Amino acid sequence: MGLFARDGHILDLGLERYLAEELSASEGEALEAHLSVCAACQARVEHLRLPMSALPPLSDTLPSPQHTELITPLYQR
Amino acid sequence: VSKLVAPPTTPAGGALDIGALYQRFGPMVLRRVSRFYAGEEAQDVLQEIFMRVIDKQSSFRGDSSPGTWLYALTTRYCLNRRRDERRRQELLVEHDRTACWSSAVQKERQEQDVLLRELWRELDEELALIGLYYYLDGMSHQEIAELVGCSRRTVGNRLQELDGRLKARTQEL
Repeated sequence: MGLFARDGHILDLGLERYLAEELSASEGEALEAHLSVCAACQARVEHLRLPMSALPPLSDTLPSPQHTELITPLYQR
Repeated sequence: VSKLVAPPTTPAGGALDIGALYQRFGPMVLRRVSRFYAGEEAQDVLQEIFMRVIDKQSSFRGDSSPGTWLYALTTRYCLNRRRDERRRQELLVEHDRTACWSSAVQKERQEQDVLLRELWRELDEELALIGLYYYLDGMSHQEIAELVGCSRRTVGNRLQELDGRLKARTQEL
């Protein structure tokens, strides 16, 4: 998966994978090389690094097995 | 997971560690959801998506990275959820239409506006996804092909089709 958009800036997905430490060493180096010279992408990554208080706790997110069994099919397409 | 989410195909299989997945990628998924939904509704959609992840975890076999897989799954889920809603609305929430998108957004703004305001409901799912990845994320044909699960040639052909429809609709406005 590429890291850069058609305009040369970093894709949102590339930044997200960078923050999730999902990039290979060479991908990380390429991304950081761009960040070192691009103020716009630096600002974007700093924005993404801001704490996210809106993320609900996992226990609120995961349904019980019964809920999964009964309700999940409703979301299937 | 439908073919439009490009399900991974390596043989690792088995159950994902949902807790670890949420811890690591929950913020990413919520940020992506927030392109489409604001406030509490975004959190509701986040829950729906992780319910879907639980249900579909056996289909994740590691062909793409977990982050890429979740990004594609989230994008498709939000697109289709928006399409299923009956009220008239744009594809993305207004306050976030330009924030943090690639600068490609600005260069192709007119076409994007038509796509976001007028055309997105009329397109089939594949074409709407391709348009979203191309015009909003600024992705290349290759990257779109990987996320959508089709060939680069298909992406090119479908973008040509979309370009024609966008230009025609722009002239009508």
